[in-house]
Amino acid sequence: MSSIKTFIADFGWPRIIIALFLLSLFVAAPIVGVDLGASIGDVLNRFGQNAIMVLALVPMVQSGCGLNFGLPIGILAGLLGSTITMQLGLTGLTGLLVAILITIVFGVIFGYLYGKLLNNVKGEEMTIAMYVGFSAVMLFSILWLVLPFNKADLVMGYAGEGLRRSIALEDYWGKLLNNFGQFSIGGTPIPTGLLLFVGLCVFFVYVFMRTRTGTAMTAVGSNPDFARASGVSVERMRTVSTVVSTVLGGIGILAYQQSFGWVQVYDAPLFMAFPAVSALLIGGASVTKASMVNVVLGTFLFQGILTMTPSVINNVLKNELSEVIRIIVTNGMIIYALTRKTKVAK
Amino acid sequence: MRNVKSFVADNIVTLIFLTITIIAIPFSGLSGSYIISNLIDRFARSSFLVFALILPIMAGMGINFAMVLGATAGQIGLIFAVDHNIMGTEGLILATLVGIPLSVGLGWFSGQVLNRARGREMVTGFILGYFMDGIYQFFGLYIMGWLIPIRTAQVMQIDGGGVRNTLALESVRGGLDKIVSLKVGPFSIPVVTFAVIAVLCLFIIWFRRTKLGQDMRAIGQEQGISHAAGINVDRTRILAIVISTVLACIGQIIYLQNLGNMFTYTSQRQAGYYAAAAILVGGATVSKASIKNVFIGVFLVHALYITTPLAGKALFKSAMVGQYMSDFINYGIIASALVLHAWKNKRAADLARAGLRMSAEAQAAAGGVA
Amino acid sequence: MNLRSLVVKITLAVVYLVLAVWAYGAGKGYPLYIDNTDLSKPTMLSVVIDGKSPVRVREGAYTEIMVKGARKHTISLVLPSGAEYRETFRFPAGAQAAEIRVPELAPGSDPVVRPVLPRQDR
Repeated sequence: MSSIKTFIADFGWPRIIIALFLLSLFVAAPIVGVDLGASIGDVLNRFGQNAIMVLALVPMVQSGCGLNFGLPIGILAGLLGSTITMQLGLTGLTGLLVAILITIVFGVIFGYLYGKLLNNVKGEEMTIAMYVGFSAVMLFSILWLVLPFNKADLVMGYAGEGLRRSIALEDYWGKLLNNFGQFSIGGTPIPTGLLLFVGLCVFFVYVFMRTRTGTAMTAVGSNPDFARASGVSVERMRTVSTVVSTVLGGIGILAYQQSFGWVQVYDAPLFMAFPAVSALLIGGASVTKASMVNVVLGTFLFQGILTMTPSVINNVLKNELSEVIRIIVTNGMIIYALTRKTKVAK
Repeated sequence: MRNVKSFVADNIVTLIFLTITIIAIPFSGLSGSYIISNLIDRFARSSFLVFALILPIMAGMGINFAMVLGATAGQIGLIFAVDHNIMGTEGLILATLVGIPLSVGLGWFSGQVLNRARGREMVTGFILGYFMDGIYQFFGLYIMGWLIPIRTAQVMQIDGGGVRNTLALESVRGGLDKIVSLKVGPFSIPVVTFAVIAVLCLFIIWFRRTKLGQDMRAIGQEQGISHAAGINVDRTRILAIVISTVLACIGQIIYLQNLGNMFTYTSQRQAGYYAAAAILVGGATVSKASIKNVFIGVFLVHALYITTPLAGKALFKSAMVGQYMSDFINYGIIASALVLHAWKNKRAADLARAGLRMSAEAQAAAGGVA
Repeated sequence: MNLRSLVVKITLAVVYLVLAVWAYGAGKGYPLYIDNTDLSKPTMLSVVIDGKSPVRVREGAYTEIMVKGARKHTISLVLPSGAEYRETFRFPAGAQAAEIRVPELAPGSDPVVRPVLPRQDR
């Protein structure tokens, strides 16, 4: 009995309520006439779309930089990757691989600068990260208009310059991962390639966090003074974690785009950090500690609610209520995590 | 020479954006009198909101991004006044009377939350604003028109559910500005609005000298010592947020009576973004803010808002660039002010650590560079 | 709680209530309909109530103008005859809405204000 109590205290009431809510949605779905098989397929697809962006938050949480509200910076690297590749006219697997390569290059550059910046503003990282992210998105909105993109299906038709708000990926590498080895079980399509790609990234981060660098990073996060005393450069580890986070954010948006079918530029990335942060926290992470289990569980729970609430509630009530629930769950979860007394690391 | 250096270092954010404004004015192609009359109007409209941020900064809680809760309360008051068809100045008074108890409650709530998030008040307050958006949408779209009946057709959504997304405030428009409007040359000056702002300034000057105001400043300096000195730290911090939230409520009502229409579910968010940018560009930091910062900030931020979109449009020959430019400037002000301030703090801390080895002159010189 | 703070609180509550009741009563807006549907002498009017910005009333129209408070108001307009009309009227107490018919306006005498039911057309 007492072990259940400690489990609940550790896991937190909000998470249990959210998990029960999702469960009740799955139970209610067939009753109100929602196709459960298709819904689960949707949840899996959206899990794959978003998981890598959630994963991207882990290194910075571990290194003590807090929740990376500056995720849009990584997303911008990913947008540069996909738009430049499309401008070059590369399609299919080549296109996707080149896009990943370009994303990594820009991700490393952006992440390095962003990490250097965060090293100079210790204590206020989260607020500053958020506003630096916002500013970067708006700066790039101007760049999307003035950079010399000129491929007809990328730019706005009437002026011939400036990227479109949404660019179709269909002729490039849209659904490439989703369709790889896709099969269905009882009406539930399984996006095998996408899930494998997510698995690969999770595995990469899992291994990375166990390398010398990875453990040093965790040490810096849990006890900076001890880490410094044992000869680990705190600044360097924080920068490395920011670079990894930024690159993963870029790869995350590439996975999102290929599944979604569109590249969205301008202010689309502005608020993308919040759902990712919320998902990680729903999965059981705190502001100072996050694991792969938190990523997978959290993304599944969060995307599950986002997918199931509208389809179930639309059949019963009006549409906007699911939007209201999304706002309250996303931000309520972040507030819960921010106001929780962080346990002293041992 | 050293004075110049430290002046530049202390006012770096203000100076950067002042330079941008001065460069932008000729490119925008706007006439001086247009800019001035616009500035008078916008100053009257929005400076009250910015004053709402002073007290929490004084109490060491940073920028109170949760002020949008107060703005929301003000909007609920206005919805009530418009729905009950209360016009003019009386309508605004009624909206304020409805908004104040709401904002006291909301301020108390956000004070509680922020007390649990010590050291990260700003980001928590920011998210709290979004959280409130959800509650407010639930209230506006589902509670209104269901538990609270909507009496006026113009307030209701076309399909009959909840409050409209855009609410015309024609019946209370200018309820404050137009009580006495003075014409000076080409400019019209809303005398009563300026009087209200002046009273607020006096209130803040007076408040800083009260026991509560002194306590807040003490807490802003050092929480531990204040606690040891017998100040109830938690309660004082909550009161700072409550007053800030109430001022934000009144400020939003003043802002909207000037505009004459409101985006029911998004106007409150603009208040938060804008007020933070204004006070920071006016030279306030997350730990120090004065009435002077508010005045400079409101003028400068609006000069930026008026000129930069047009300058951007003219320079890049694209209207969309101008639009994104103003958003970029708005976020950029807050980001750069926070970064520069945190950077300066870090330098100061580093210097203090190395202080034993450093002479006083060397410190001043290094500080000047930062 | 000491006596002084109690007195302060009660005073505040009373002031709050008095202000609310006053604002609600004095600021309440009522629809005043200008009936210009009589087409025997058609004309377009420009009606000014309480010195506010003029409201255009087309020939054959039945126009709503909101007036603040059930009290004395001024109305001014130019009649079809060309005579300038400027008089005061009292909004009928207890009425939800009121109506003024343009043909009934005669220079030198107060307008006839009839209490009517508010229109629910919007």
